[in-house]
Amino acid sequence: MTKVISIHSFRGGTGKSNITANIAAKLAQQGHRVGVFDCDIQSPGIHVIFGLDTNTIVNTINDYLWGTCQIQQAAYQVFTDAASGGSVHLVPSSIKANDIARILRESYDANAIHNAFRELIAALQLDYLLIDTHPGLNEETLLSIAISDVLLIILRPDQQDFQGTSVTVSVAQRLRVPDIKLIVNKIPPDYDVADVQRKVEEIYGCPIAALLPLSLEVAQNASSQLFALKAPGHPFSEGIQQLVDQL
Amino acid sequence: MNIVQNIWTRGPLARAFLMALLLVSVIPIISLSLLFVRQSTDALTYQMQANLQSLVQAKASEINGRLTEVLHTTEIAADQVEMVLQHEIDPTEVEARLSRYQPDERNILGLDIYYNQQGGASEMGEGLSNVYWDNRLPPSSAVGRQIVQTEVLDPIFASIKGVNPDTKWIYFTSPEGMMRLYPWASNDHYPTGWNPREIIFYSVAEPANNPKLAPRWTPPYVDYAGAGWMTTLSIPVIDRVSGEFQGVMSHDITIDSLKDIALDIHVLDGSGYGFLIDPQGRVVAHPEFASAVDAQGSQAEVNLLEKGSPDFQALVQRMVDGESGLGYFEDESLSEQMLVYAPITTTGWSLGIVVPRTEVVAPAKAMQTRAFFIAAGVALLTTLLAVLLTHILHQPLVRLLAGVRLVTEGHEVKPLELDSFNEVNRLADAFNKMAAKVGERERNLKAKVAELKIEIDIQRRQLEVDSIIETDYFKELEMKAEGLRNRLRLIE
Repeated sequence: MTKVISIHSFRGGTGKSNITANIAAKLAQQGHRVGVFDCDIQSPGIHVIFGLDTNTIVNTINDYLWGTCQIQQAAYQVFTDAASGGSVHLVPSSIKANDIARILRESYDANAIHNAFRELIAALQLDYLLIDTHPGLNEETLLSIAISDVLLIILRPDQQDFQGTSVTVSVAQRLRVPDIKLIVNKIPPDYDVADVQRKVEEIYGCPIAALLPLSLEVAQNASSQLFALKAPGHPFSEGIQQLVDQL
Repeated sequence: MNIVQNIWTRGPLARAFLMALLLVSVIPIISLSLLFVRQSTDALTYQMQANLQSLVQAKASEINGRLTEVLHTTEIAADQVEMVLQHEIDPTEVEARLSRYQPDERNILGLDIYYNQQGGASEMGEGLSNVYWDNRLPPSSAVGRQIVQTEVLDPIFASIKGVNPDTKWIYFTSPEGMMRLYPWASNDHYPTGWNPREIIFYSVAEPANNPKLAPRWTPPYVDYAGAGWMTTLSIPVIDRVSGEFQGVMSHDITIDSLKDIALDIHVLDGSGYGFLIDPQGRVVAHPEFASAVDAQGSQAEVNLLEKGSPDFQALVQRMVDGESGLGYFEDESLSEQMLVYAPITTTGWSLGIVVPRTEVVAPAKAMQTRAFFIAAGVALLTTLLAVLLTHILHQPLVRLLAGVRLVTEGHEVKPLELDSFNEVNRLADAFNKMAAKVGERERNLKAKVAELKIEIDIQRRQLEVDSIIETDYFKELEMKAEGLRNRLRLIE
């Protein structure tokens, strides 16, 4: 049975794609077949973290939505773990400016996204499907949240994130998502993390899945490689591992 | 060991410092020690060789001195004989004095019977000589005169014998075969028909075999009269006026004491030995080649030019050639030996001393061993000092590093202990001050976080949530959500 996990944040820049990619790689290391959908169609970027060369990308989710390819033709195996046999298959969004403009202009049927999920799960026999959602709560994001077994909401210890996250949590609870967890990312070193965890859980009524520090090393490396694999002893990586263990 | 391991694995800078200390201390110590040992061992070996050469020269000089004394006294005796034979004696007196010389039962003319008539030669005291003449041919007037003329030589011969302790016999032999021998010995010792002119002590010096009329030494031989190993110096007696050959003056000396000089040579640990050879390479004295003493008149038979390895024979050839020097050879057990040698110019003999090479270099080896242990000890001590010094510098840095890590991880650290105020401890002091300030700042920051509040605008949130959930899309989605989830779950 495939577990569908949406990773969402109310605002951009929370490190959502980076956390999604590292979760996927860690799950693959445990021997799972993992699918990753880049549903941040307006500002895609997760393929960079997996090191997928844009020149090798032929089909994207955009092409599937326009009916020009099968979903499995838009899936690229971006990570394998020889020891465990696990793998990560990424369905990227197009990074071409005209494709992004077209999808915004013409819009698309959100249900088509749902079909894409189903077809990819069936085609690749996935154990996990991770959906890197677009920030905010548009129709496609609502659909992703609605179909998820687990919703991971990422926020920073920042007042605007606190407010937006409270909206997302309320909407997700309304959609009766079975498992809603919070990830506090980019916690400055002068914060008392225990205090942060206690207050966030108290305010939102949801468990904290991970408390990830603000780290210069992560900022310098995370956008170009899988940091949790490169530096497994780093507090950020340990937080990712702790998170994966809960999935 | 733990200190070294700690420095080696956890401190690249300390490791480099330790290596530098070792490079500038241990390596020069070892290099200088090796240089010193090499020079010292060479000098010691040269010194040993020089000492042995001095020894062989001294011993050769001692033997040579003894033989030179024999030569000088024999030359004096020859001069006296020449003078005596010039002395005219009245024929009547000659005849009267010849009456004492009577032939024995083997018809050998001599004084044996006369001395017996006088109560025995041994009872007549020292200073007596004897004459040997094969009386099968009665003595001519010239021989009779020689017999009488040479009677006066007895005191001279006695004097020479008194000067030379090795003198056994001193005797004159005329070209006719008359021999006057001092001290007295019975003619019974000579075999019947014995002719002294056929014996080497005469033949070696007679002009036919000695055209230069030089003093000649016979090879060592066993004495006819039973006196053991001897050599004879023979000098031709020549009339100074006419140049006529008048006979041979011979001087027998026992060579046992000369042999003892060579055989008593013991050097170093006693395994060295000395030996003497004659001008033909035959053994005069050698501890390993005891000469046969079976037959009277037999000569030394062992020739070292025919013994041993080619290297040894080459060295013996140099000895035979009258050279002095040293060289090395392998003996029968393939052990390397050193031979030092010096000539005995009087007789043409050569004295050699053989010493195992191991004993020659033994002092140098012993010094090498001592130097090795001293150098090893100094190197070990230097290494320990280098390790200790590195440890002294490294340890505070390790504590400092641990403290920095704790501060980096946000922990409070206890001030590092300062047992003295050196450079490292000044750094530790600065660290303590920094850690104290960091700790204070951390505490301030934590206090600040405690004041941080998460504020949610409930009214605004409700408005935003309502704007979403009131849409037809959301309402439809809300109804279908569980179904959609289940559809995905059921995919096989």
